[in-house]
Amino acid sequence: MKDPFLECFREKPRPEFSRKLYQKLQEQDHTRGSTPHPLRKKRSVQGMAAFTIVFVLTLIILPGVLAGPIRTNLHTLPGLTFCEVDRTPVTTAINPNPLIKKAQVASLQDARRTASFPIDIPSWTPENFVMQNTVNLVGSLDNKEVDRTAVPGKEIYFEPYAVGITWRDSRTPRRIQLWVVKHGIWFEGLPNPSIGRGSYQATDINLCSGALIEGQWNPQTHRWDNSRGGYLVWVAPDLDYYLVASNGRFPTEDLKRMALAMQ
Amino acid sequence: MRAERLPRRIVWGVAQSETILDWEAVYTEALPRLYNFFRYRVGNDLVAEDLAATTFEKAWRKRNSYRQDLAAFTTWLFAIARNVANDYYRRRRPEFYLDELESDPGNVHLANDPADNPEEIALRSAEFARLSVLLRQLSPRSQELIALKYGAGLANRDIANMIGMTESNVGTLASRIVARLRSEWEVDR
Repeated sequence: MKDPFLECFREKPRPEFSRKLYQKLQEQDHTRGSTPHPLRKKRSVQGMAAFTIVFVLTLIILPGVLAGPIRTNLHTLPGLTFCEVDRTPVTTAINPNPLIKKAQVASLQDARRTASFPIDIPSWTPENFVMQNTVNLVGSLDNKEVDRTAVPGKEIYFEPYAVGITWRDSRTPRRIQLWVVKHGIWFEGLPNPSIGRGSYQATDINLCSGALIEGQWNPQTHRWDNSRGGYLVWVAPDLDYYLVASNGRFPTEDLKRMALAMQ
Repeated sequence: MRAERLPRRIVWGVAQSETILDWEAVYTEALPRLYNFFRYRVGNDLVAEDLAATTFEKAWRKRNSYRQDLAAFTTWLFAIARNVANDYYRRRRPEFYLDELESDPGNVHLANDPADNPEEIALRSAEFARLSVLLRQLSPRSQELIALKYGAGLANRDIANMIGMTESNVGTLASRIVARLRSEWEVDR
């Protein structure tokens, strides 16, 4: 039974994704070669044996080798633990953020009508930063549906657990986003954001525990880069706040000033 | 899907196998099906890409164990895909990196730069997100059936073989689910 109602949502895979995956499979083929299966198995056994010997020798001769990679420094806020590491975690085949979410944009006014929590915004922002007309709403698929009669004419169809507001610098690509997130929802489970070494600085915002984090990961080098922006995170009784500065160097004092100007 | 062609560098099967599939043709034909199976199954384009890639990589690694005729190929590939989807749901856990806040808050292709074209992005994602919401309310078995039938576009007979139902039961169940989805879709509008 054909059904256009459901089939219309099919999409072609992105050409880039198709090409890269095909290339990856081909590379696997090159790596493995066209060796017949039994011989390949024998080689893999030999390889495993060699690896085991090297690994054991490493343990015996260089015990310090293991100490480096597992050395971490943790900083904890209520419900949130930051982990200082040298490099970004190794990317796995599975998306590292597999929460099924829904998202949409709306006006701040509509977001405020729909969200079950207050969405305050700072009365001060750095010079030349302009607030965007729309905000991001994020909810899990399990979040209850919104009675849309309460938001007449608007397409907000779920109750968000996070709302993001964006300011852009009118002269440079720099951007600031404020995320207001229901406490314990976003990070439920394994809250271990990885940050660069030495980037963490404890602070407080209106008597709430917080953290100033200077820099961001560089996705190309997988190294922490202090010139890429920064974060200010603070935890209120029911809400978590994230000020995220991106696309350029940013004084962390400005983030704190924005946070203190929240109304 | 073409068969009985001379093996290229990338072929399905090895010399001792009686069946030789043209891997490039298999890939071209099967990837969109797999991708949409996962999109309908998990409701997320990025995750669907990851899961489709995982499935193909697994299939590629196990290609020597595939000894069936060509007709069974789809069944075999989607058996791997179903396991990949089940694994995904088993180990699904909230996890996050700070950068994602900035770059991918919605994880629905929404936030690369939502301010650039918010209406278009919102419309595109909202409709599929609505469908995903409705699908998530179905039983896991029904979700899988819809993903196989309307995502991957498989025939009732193939689906019946995969999920252990009769072909007619697959058709009946699919009709009921579609009717329910249609009704909820209209109400929600």
